[in-house]
Amino acid sequence: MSDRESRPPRGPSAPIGSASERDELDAPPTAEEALAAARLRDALEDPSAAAGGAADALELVASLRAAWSPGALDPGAHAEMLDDLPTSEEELALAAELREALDGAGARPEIVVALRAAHRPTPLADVEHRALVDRALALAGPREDAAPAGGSVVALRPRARTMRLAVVSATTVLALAASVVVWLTTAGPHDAAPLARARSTQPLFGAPFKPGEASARIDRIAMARASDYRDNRFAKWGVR
Amino acid sequence: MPEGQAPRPATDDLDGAQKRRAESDAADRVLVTKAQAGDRDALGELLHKHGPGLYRSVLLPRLGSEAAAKEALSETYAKVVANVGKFVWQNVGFYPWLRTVALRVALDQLRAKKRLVLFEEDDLAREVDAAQTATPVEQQVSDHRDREAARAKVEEALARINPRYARAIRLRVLDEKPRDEVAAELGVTPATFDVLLHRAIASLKKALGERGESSEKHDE
Repeated sequence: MSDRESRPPRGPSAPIGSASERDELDAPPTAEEALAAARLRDALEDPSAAAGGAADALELVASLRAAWSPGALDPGAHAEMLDDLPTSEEELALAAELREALDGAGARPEIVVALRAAHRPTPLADVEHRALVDRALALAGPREDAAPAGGSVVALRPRARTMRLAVVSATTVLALAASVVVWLTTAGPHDAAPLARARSTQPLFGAPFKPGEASARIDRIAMARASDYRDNRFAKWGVR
Repeated sequence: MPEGQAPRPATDDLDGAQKRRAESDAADRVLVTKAQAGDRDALGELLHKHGPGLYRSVLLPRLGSEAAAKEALSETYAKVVANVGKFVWQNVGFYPWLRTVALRVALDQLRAKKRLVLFEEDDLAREVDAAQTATPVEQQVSDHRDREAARAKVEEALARINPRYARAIRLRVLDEKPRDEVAAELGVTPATFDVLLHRAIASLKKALGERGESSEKHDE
């Protein structure tokens, strides 16, 4: 009888890590153990082929994996679960409303309109565009220095010299008075947005750069100047 | 055809496009000069030429509704009429300036009216910043880029919700396929599809709402 055969099997009370347990770990497998090990190996490779004791082992493996690193729920499967949820009366009514709106029988929800506008914007009808342009141009009004070409010219009836002189004089006086009023009320800053003033960058380079700071400082200066420049352009264009 | 004289279509196309652009720019420049001298017909011609593209590629996708886009176009025109005298020709044509004015109007409108749209204030503010240097000279190219940007925004929004919901919206709302066909494609009954689409839309609204809230918190 060998030493191994003479040793009693480790009972439930055998301490973990004891000499007897270490001996059991190092012991060569029995034929039955080797067969079970091969089954487990195959089952881990291909869970669908698991059978008998390997199937039980796989369940344990699955529960261990689920606890250790639970996998995400497949989004499609989740959505299908949501589809199967019982539907409330209110939800059914809203769904019907949406269906009718998409079929053109009601007002479409804002989000649907926005999606379609971004995805496939429809062109503006020519008549509508013409009306918008005409309205904008009407706001401009006729300009005194506009070229007469294309516009209708209405001839003034001849008037007496004294009458013309009186009109010219009165207009001149009124224009002068109006210009004084305008000057008094709008003296100072113009209605245009103020422009950022040009500044020299020289003082910014007086202090020595710290190691590694040169690029960041220059970038900040360039960004600030670019921003001023952009603002000034918008102000000059009258769109600020 | 003698050797060495084979046609070069690509180069010819490029030359042709450049020539067309030069002609268009020259025509615009004449119109701008006339408009600045008070010729309303010339200004009208400029707006008729560039306005429809501006509406379809810039304003409508960014503002999300025809009414809002028309209002913005009208306001853009009013600003153009008032400020065309200040416009300085810089060899990049008239359209980039017009687009900048329109973007600023759209940004103001988005700020004033809190509506649920795909584009946020920050998006437009960035576009306004980039407008002066990044707007292609040719309106066709600019329109194409603007349309692509809008479609990317749609994809970005749909990526925030469950893929099945996104698919339902894509098929029914964007591709405008018939309800029964989409239901079959998704493997559900038409009645179930109605509910699915309703939930998809609700989910997208929630996702966009959360996006807006998070950007507001970020601003604070």
